[in-house]
Amino acid sequence: MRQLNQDFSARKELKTSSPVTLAVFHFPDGDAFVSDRSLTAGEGGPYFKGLVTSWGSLSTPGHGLFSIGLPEITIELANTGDTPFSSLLEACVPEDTYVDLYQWFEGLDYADKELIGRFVISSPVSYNESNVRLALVGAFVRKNRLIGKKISRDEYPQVDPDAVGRIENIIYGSPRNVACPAVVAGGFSTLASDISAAYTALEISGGVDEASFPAAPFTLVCDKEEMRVASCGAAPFKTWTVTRGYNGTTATAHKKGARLYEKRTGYTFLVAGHPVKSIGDVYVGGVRVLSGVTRNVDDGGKATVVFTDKFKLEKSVDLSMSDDGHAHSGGVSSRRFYGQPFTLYGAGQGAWYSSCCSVNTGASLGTIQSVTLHIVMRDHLVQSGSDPQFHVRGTGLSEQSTHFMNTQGYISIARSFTTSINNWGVWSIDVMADNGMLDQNYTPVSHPAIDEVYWDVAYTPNTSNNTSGVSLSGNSAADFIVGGKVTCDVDGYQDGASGAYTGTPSSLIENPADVTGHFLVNYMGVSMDELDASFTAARGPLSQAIPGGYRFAGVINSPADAFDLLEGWSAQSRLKVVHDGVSAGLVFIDNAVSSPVKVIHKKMVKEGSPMVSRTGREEVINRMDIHYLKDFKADGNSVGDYAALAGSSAAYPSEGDTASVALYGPKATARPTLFGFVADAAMASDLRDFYITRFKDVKRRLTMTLFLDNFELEEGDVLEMDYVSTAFDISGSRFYVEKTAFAPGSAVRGRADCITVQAREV
Amino acid sequence: MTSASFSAGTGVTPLAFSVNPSYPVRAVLHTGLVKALTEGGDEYSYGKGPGYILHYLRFEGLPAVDFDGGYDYAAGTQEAGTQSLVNWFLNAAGVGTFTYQDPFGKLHEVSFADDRLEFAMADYGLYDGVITLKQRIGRT
Repeated sequence: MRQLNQDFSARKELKTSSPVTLAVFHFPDGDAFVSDRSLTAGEGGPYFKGLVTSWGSLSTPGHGLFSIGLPEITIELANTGDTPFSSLLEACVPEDTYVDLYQWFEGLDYADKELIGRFVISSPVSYNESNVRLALVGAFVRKNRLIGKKISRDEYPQVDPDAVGRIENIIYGSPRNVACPAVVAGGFSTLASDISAAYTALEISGGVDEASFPAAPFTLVCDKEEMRVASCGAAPFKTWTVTRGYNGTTATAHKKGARLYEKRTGYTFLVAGHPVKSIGDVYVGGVRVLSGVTRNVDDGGKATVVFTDKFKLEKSVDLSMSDDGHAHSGGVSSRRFYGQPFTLYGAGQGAWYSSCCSVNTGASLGTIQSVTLHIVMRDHLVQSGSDPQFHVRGTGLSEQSTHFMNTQGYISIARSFTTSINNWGVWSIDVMADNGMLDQNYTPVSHPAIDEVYWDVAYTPNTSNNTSGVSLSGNSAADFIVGGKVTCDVDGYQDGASGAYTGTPSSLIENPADVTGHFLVNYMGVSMDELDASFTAARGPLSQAIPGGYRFAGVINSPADAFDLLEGWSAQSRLKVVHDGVSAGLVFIDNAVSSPVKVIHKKMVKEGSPMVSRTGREEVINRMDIHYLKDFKADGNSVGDYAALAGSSAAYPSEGDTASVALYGPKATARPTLFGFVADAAMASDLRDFYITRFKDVKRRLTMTLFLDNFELEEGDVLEMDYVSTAFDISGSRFYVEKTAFAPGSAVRGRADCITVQAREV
Repeated sequence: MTSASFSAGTGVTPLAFSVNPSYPVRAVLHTGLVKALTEGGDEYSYGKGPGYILHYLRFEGLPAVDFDGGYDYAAGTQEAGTQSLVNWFLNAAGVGTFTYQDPFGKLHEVSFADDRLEFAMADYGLYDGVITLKQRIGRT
């Protein structure tokens, strides 16, 4: 509810007071005072020319509970006289021209007028020889701007190319793992070809990366080796002459693609584009840095961390074996050696055919465990004698015989023999056909065929039987990491010695009310004087909402529209930002209503104006997922960039409000709810409860027209209705004011000055 | 009874009508008040500016010499020493105020309330039509 001065308040309550709407245009050549009638506006007031032929309705378009509302109104003026109004417009930049609208009542002193708002002239503006028509929009529109100062090479000549174009962090509260771009990074490139330990002419990749290298001589680091660059060669400076193994390091071979970076005495990473309260743990590639880093909370107006050397991380693997004297017995391997098939031509029955089917195994493959000889023979026998058989002997095999009992016809017999072979080398067999084997001609077989012969060897391989020390030892340098993404834990903006924003000197600015005020002043051009008392008043409910209070913890690390930021913060804190063009205020939106600011009686409501509607199903929210605890290492802003989820809360389980779900079905927000400045589980839970409680039901929405005795009503106020009607059962009900629209009256049109109120049932 | 006339100070030839406005001469008084009722029956009533009178002068058989005598439509000028309603409407008074002397000799500071003048020739050389004049009254 707006606070009005006493005389104005007394006058507005009279149903016979004559209200006058006044407009003061602040043109470069002087102020123009206009109204819908010519008058001198009270004691001490200027003369207002009656040029206004029509006031539009002053309304505030908005699309959501926490949207930034900019009031709009149209005005039509007579464009006549020696100095037509259009000539004033043509002599100024309309969008740069402020217009103050006041409400005043006849009989009041000029000083007792109340500001309706400060505006700027906006489109559409049109005029002809008799009329001027123009639109005004709340002057707060001029405070909106793109937030974020870009990191540039102009300001940071040694900047990491990857950091150029990012914005300097703006930090509130105590976010963790805030990414810090390198603003003094030194030169960086990569090897364009493999080099040996002796190579002194480096081919580097070139491109934009080496632009930040200084002029030679300078020192270069590749893996663990330092090199002294004597010359960068001729343009385009891609072949460098170096001294290897500089500063006592060891020259080693490096592979194409190895990182080259300039050795400096310090590498600076920008924590924030402003001083911060403190810098906590610092991490490189997620590894906490214990030494070699200096934290600067105010480094010439910014916050930085400075490393004395590139952070190196050896992600090596120790391959030493603790029991290297142990006899390692590995598993048994097997191998098969085939001999050449053979037919025993020429040898007579009972004679040995020697050294047939031999194989050469070659060098030892390990310790032989066993060797088995396999033979497959065939022939065509008409009949066999009483003991047909053949004999075999060979390497590691004493003579063996095998029999074909009562066998005739085509035969194919396979036999296996265990040998005593224990050495690798040449193995062979002797074969002899014995009695009783007659072929199709009924003659003794003299040439049986050996279709297949092979030796199966089981052995223990050499490498698994080594009883001496294992040669795999020491660290692998394959994962030698230089540098990495630098992040740190930060306590962001802190209040000054006077405690202007928080009420406590030098304290961390984290209460959402304080954050909003600080942001308005420091980033949107709002002066401290423009912050009204509601900023201090809002601190209380926020600090009492949950144990420890609402606290923001977040980073602005990408360009953002200021209004979008404010609206986002409002949704995360329940603090709505209001601004009449002259002063800014906060309205804490609460579901718990202690008492209405005003009771609206039937005699205050314009005849025929009340109308009741119902909020739509699309406004219902009965379950909700709030994603919070944003990962500020990540560049994006999607669900995956948030580490925590409030899918249930103190008042509502994950299923949401049971009754509402049963009635309307599960209804959630259309888009994921991403709360980047919420890092606390209790705060996320409280917000979830707030939204579900507020929106789980379809509510009545009341629209009615009041008169200027309700001039003080504003968005967020709670009204109680004293209105008995057979059409509306609203008497005793309470409503939140969602919108107000002021329509100045008109004698010509017979229209009284009215306030139209749209209010949602509590 | 005198003839109705328009005058606008020195340098402007007055327009004296050959015929007076026909009866009834309507004069509608606007108070400048607005009134509104509430659902509870209360009345809000207050001034939103000065009141005014709208004078409706209905002419019947206005001679052509009064209507546009001596007026050169092509040049947009009036013959010297003469005056006509058309010239008065377009040039002499324009959007400003002038003095209307009613048939009873009473003077009224008025302006044209309409942005057009609509007359019809009802008979040969005789025009019928209505002039609406706005006269501010009361508070300033």
